Amino acid sequence: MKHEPYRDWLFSDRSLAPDQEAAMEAHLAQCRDCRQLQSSWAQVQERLERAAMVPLPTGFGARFSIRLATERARRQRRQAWTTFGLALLGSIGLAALLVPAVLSGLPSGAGELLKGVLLVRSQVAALLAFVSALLASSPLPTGNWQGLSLLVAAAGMAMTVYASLGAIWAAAVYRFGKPTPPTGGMR
Amino acid sequence: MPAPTKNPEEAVWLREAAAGDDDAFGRIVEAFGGPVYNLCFRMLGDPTEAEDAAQETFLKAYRNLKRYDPKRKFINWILAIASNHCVDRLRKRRLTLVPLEELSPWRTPADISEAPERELVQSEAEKELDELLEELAAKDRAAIILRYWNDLSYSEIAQSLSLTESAVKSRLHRARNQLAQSWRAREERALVFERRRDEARTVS
Repeated sequence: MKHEPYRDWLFSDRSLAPDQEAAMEAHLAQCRDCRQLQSSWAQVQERLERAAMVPLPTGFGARFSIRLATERARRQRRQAWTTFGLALLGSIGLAALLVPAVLSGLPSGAGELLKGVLLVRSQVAALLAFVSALLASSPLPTGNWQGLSLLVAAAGMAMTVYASLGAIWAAAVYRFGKPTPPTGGMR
Repeated sequence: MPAPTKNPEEAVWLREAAAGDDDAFGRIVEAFGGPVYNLCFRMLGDPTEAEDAAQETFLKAYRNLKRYDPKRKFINWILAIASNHCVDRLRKRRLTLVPLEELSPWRTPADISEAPERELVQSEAEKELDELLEELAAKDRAAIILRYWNDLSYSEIAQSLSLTESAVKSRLHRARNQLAQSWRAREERALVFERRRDEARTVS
């Protein structure tokens, strides 16, 4: 026996047209299988519609608040670790970029630096010799000029240090400010 | 079963909760905890797992509150989260072997024997219904629950389960057919059992 479209109608939500209803009745009168299914579905449907709401367990809201607080703490910890991790990665990346450049730049930079320091030092020494000669030929008492020459020597030393630092700075600016030529590979 | 009524304060709570007010979100949990828990309970069949799933649902809602579209009913949005979460759980459960007793601890014979007669009858009916629902595929079960317990329309179910309306219709049709067939099979088994028992009594 043909069960379609009766089974479709049996499990459909929409109400049947009068002619469909009549056809359905006629089919059910003949078909035991469809009749049984109709009866079974009616009982299941009744249970579905009659089923009670299960009460929410006591303390559900309080337990959720605790869970939310735990979740928030976990999220904050994760954010902190993510920030720390990113900072660490950034530092490592920066170091990985800078260290080879510093290492490759050091030998020539050091040579230039040494030359610069020696030059400044010799100029300062010449200046000091000139000042000392000038003071020796002066008619002023020696004692006072001795103190002044010490002061000038100290100033010369400080100038040497500052000049050395300046040379380092200049070498660094020259070295890292200069664009590096392409080393080949993929573009 | 009536659909949960829309609370006029709901929009205010949602706005405040989205701005980070936990008390406002607490009121949302209080207002929608019942329907969400019920859906999880019907889907999973276990009170402990249902509570865990309901709480996970609210956590997901909390995390995604800024993505909620106020044009949509909040109850439908949260039920969609709950049903999808339960469908995922059921799929994971299928991959792990769990003893039947662990899945249904509230159905122990001791519980039933202590219950009053009316509760016993109700519990039996509930048990039968839950067993029938357990036979359905996860999404079919979700469609049936959303339709019969939460009174959602086809289009709302479609939106909740990320299906087309015609897919919802065909899933519901298939689920109803399967429920009816299972019910008939149960009745037939019960009849056979009774007949054999009667025969055994007659012989003795």
